[in-house]
Amino acid sequence: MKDQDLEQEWHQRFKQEADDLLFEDVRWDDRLQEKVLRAAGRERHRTDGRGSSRSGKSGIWRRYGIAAVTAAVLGIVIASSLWLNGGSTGVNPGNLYQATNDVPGTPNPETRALQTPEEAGMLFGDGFLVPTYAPDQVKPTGLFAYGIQEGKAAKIVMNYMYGDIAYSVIEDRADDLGVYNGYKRVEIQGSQGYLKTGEADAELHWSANGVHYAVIGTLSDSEAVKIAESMK
Amino acid sequence: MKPAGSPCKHDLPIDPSAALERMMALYGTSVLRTAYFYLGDRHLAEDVSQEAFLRAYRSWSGFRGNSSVKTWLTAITVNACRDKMGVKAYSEQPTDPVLIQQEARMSAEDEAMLRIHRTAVLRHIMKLPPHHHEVLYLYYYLDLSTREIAEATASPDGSVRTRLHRAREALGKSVREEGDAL
Repeated sequence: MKDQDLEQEWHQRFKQEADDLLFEDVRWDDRLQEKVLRAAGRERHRTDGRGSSRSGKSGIWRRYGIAAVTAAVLGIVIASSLWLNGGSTGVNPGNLYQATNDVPGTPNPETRALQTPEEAGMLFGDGFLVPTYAPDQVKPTGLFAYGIQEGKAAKIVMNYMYGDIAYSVIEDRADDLGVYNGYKRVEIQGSQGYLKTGEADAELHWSANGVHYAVIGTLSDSEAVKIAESMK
Repeated sequence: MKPAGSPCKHDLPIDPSAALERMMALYGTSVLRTAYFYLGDRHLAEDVSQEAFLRAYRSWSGFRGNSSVKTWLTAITVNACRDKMGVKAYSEQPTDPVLIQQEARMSAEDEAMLRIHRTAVLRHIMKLPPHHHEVLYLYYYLDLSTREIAEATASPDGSVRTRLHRAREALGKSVREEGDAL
């Protein structure tokens, strides 16, 4: 047998034998992945908390934007606290992601993970909308209600993900949409909307009937608009 | 011939969280098995592989992408294993992953060891001096090139080539001596 053939034989045999005998049951699984994601979420929470206290609101969006959305989409428990801003007191993009100094992992009595959009509709009340469109293979990964007081939620966050696409649909009670400098104006269901796109992410805001809606995440601007237009 | 086309940094998301998820999907089992190969203990391997991914997550933004993601993750994993084993600095004498594993298994899984001794290549590798194990695992199992092994183990490329050459020679000698016709 030639050296090259022998080499190939060793290569294949070693891999096969190692897989069969050394590593037979040694596989990465969802349990390990979840542990890592939770630990990463806790680290991000601590980092974001420090950043917030240093620089105030002006730079919050760029720091919290996609990272916070992705964290929530990934189902990281700690991400829920990133949306806890004590209700709907602000409507600037940054306020949607205002961090708190809560101890990571500590459950907040005013936050609830929900099972169905119907449940979210009951808590949010009038103006609650559900996207009827999602990009191919994208599935919902989480549904959360925030700022629950007297049986009413101030904010609903719906998370979706598949592959590189990860986004949140956020609904927040607000009378004023705020100022969106540098955003492109688009019409969403007859209302004025504001769209901002990055290399691989998009952020879309609009309001109707006292509700501030947002679609934010790693998706194209056209998909963000399509999702917004599909909300019923 | 070593496989090519391992994903580079620009093939993965910029966002560290999204990149972390992708890395775990692509290399979770590989990282876990590498940790297990070095440490010989499932629970330790799980701890170390989680730590390796967290280190990757923390360093993702600073990773310049000079090597493939796989090589970079392997380097992180090897370092995490060495930290766990108390190896502070790498020397020309590599750690002894198989020996550690062998000792751990001999006490707990004698039957598995017996099965290993019936294999065609693995048993020969395990009979080799400990310093050959690491390079053979990284080269044959993880499909790393000698340059990538040098990066992953913080060793000079020439040393890795020499180490691999000697390990192959030793493996060939062991196989020939037993008259195996592979």
